[in-house]
Amino acid sequence: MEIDKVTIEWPGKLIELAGEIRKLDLTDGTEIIRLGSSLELLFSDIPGPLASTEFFGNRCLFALQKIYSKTVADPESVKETLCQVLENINAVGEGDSDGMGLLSDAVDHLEVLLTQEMGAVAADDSNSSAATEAAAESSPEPDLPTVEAGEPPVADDTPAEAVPEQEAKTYNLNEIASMLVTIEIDDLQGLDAIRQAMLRFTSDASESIVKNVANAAESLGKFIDEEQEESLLYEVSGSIEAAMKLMEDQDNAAPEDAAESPAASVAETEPEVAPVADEEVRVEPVSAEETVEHVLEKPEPEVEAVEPIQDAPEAPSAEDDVTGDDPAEISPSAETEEITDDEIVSSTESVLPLDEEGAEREPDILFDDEESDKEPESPVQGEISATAEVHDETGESVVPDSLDVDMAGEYVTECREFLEDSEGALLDLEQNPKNVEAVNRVFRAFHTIKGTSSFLQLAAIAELAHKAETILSMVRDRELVFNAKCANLSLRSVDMLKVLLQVVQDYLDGGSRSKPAGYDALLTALKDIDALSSEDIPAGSVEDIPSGNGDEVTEFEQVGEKPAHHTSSFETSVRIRTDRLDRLIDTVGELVIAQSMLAQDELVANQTGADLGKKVGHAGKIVRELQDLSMAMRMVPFKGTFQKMARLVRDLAQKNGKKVEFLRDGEETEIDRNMVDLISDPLVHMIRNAVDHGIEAPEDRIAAGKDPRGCVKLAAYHAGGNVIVQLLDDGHGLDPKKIFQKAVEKGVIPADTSLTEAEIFNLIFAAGFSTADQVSDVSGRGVGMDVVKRNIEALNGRVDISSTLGQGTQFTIKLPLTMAITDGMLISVGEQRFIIPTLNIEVSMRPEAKDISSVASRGKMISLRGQQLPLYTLYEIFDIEGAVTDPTEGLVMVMDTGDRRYAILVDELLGKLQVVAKSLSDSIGKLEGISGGAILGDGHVGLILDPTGLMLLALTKTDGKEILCAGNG
Amino acid sequence: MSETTAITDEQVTQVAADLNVDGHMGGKFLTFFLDDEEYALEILKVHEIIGMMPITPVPRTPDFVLGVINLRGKVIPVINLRTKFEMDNVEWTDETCIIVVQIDGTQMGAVVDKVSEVLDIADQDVDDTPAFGGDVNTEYILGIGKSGDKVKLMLDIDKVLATEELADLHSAVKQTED
Repeated sequence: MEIDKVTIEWPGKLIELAGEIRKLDLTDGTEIIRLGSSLELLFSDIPGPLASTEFFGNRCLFALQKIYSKTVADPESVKETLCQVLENINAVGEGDSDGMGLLSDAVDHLEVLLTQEMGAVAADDSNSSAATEAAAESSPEPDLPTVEAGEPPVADDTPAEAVPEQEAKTYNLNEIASMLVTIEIDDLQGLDAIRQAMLRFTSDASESIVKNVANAAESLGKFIDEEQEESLLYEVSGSIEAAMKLMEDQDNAAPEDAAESPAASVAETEPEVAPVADEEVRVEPVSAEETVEHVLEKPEPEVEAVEPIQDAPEAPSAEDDVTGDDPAEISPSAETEEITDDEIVSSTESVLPLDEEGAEREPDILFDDEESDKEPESPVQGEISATAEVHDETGESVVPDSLDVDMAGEYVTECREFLEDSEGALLDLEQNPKNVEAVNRVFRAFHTIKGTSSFLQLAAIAELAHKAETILSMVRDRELVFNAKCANLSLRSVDMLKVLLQVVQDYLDGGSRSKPAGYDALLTALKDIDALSSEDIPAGSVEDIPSGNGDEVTEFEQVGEKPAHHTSSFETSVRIRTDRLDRLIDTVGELVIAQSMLAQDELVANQTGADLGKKVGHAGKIVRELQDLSMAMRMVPFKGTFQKMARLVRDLAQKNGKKVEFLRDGEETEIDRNMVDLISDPLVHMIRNAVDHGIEAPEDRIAAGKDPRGCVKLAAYHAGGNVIVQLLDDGHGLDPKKIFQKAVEKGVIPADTSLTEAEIFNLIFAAGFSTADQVSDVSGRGVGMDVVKRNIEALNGRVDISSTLGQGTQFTIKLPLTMAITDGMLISVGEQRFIIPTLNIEVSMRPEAKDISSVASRGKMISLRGQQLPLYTLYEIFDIEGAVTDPTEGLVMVMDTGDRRYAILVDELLGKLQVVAKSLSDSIGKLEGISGGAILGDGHVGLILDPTGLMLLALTKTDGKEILCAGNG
Repeated sequence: MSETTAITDEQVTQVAADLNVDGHMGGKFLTFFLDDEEYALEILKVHEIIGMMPITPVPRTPDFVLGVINLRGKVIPVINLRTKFEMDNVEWTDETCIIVVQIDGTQMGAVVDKVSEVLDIADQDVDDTPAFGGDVNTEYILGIGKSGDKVKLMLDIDKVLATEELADLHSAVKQTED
């Protein structure tokens, strides 16, 4: 697909670059980096004929990174596919219509290749690409036999030489774990290889460890053979982790032995190995410790297959033992079991060149801003080292210097989503500790966060996520009961992760990046649970697990089907920048107007017979559909908000020593995404009030004959084009007398005012009003409810209260579906037209003269069904000339702002309409009585009235006398 | 004179930045007429020039604010420069037009009698605003530009259209009413 005619600059360069990449020597790190940066530059140049250039660019860079860090199974193919991707991008850029299909095929292929890193993590650490390829090509399975000896400490009673024999055919547990983490679940071959590795795992460690591993192998086999059920995989990794834990414990128990045997081998291999080990600490942190201890082993049958790998493989440890010996030595006949000291020594000799290569690699790594050292992002590997590193390396800073700013933004958003989800799941879990689906959700969230964080070198986050994940994995494996402590710790971890993400975000915005307070404490707390749980599980009980597992598994499987579902929902959504979305909606709004102007055009409207009108009408339909669609794009479900509230209720209840059940209903109800955030604050206030003041203490509830467990319910639903959010509690309710009294005390109302119950309840929205006898740190300072009301009104919504003393309170918030569209009535006053939000219009009428009465010869009153309402006139408020001044000739609209009602005189009602509200405050500033502007059907601008503001204006325009009337309204 | 913020195009920003170096005031200007006075407006701030269109009056704004218009879906305020400069209003003609300027990301329109030309004014052709004393308000004039034998008043459009000022005046109006 070479293109000769280079019309624009970049396509030519792209091809050129593809050529260079093709010629690339995979061992040449510097060159890879150079190509990477050219590629990056080039992509930033591409003007974007391809909408997803950025995406492709990222993938390509990622692929290069992978090649560089040698974490792909088959770098040659990756390279080739990468070139194809580049060429296809070019083709698309040149307008090749087939190009897009080819491109996405190529990218898919690339993705597949990139995920084939499993065996490779173990296998291609060395610089010798040729060997790696050979190994990879020969089939994934044989990679695995590059077995490393497992558990160092185990060999307590065996001297160094004996170790090889003892640990024959063994994979290091860590490696198995890391393979598990990096493998794709549909890579059955790879999975089978892991299973083989597990089966070969023998260790004189302890029965229980081996049993755990065998158990894992069994589950894995089951997964491969029949079900492909994700939960099985969790079990697998669970068992492995359990085994690792046991191993660790043993380590601790017998540190001397552990130290000894490696020491011995280090001594022997010393000069060469030592540097390698150093090197490896960075490249593949996990193996750091193990390096020395690894003893290479090869099961007989696979020996041939192993040969090619040997100069390529993994941790130098492997090289120590086998590698250098190369085909010649490890021919099929050379039984590994017979590896002796001599061989080890001889192998170390041949390791020498490798070491040099390793040493050579160092500059590259530095050159790359140490980006790639930790990159082999198989999280399990990262985790152990992270524990060690965080403290000495990151120090007080959470964010590395080399943070990839572009990726970090995405990362933060994504992680936040995961955290929100996991928070919800944790709360579910607290209710029902057996809910495996919830465990898996949380686990998955932590796990992903861990993975991406270590990729971005956010070690502090990765470590915390790892620790939190560990707890969850223990819960999942039933080693730990998900008790309150567990829940608290997990939730605290979620909180801390949020804080950490905020730090990253702040750093991106130019803020500091210091470690937040409490991080270390939390980490210590998380470690405690580690210790606690491992002590809690005596060997016996662990051994019980396998047998117990079987029954439990079936139970879990049924529940466990959903996680896959969850993932898919993450994958099928696309992130769109909100400003683009807003622009789209604006544009569509314009289109609607343009279309309706066209439809109203005389030429179209007056046409008889011809089908122009029909065509215009058809277009109109499509345009309206488009408008609905674009509006729907802004909609998000309440779910996230509700989850936040669930957390809040839980924490508050705990703090207050109350028992509160939180019910959610209709959390799938959708609302404008801008509003979701804004509704959150008022809800928090209201829920605080409900739990703090509403729900009584358990003993009081029992005394009142109620269930000691209080209930707070949050519900959302659509009704009549509005969204209704209800908050109900079954607490002691509001006491109208008490409120009235308090209001009089605080001077909110005069003592002689007579108010209906609803009006009294509304008093709690008055600023500085609180019914709580005691001020707590939760609520009761008298701030809050006024903020609630203000916030809700800012959303064009309103809030109503109903309450029965002793039985509970109900808040009903009525919100428009979206802030973007306002339902309104178009009215005229003189020459001018205004829009009044329908939400605030109670009724409109043409009054008779007898309904109107005059107050103190200035203000007017109107009688509506026996109630006296103040009557304001828009022409006076806005000084408009030529308007109707006689109420009996105009139209009176009764407005309801939620707490006050009043009537306003306008000339005429012109119609009902939906408008896209646009703020004027950016350009003109805040205007009293006007909430915004909107484009009307004829292309003119109409101003949207703000009923509350209008009333205030009216009050300032006239004498203060009417304030009382308004109060009475 | 910090006028770099509003401009999005990188190149333009650069040019604008260059303009500001050492208080240079020269550059390309759009000139327009109010009565027989010719004003010059830095061209980088001009978003577009549109003909007169229906303007929706906005209540309770200072009298120089004519109202708002629909600029392809955006609602932008329009001010009457004549009123702002305390000149008498005249009938709008075919030549009357709205210059849409962009300041700090917000667009505003200014009604002028007619647009004249785009011209270069060199640094050395810019003189300081003379002090007239008394009633003559020169706070919106950056300097006096000379082009040929004519004199252009270089307008500090940021100041003329300052949002804060709209707001301030607005609240002042309110206070007097109260």
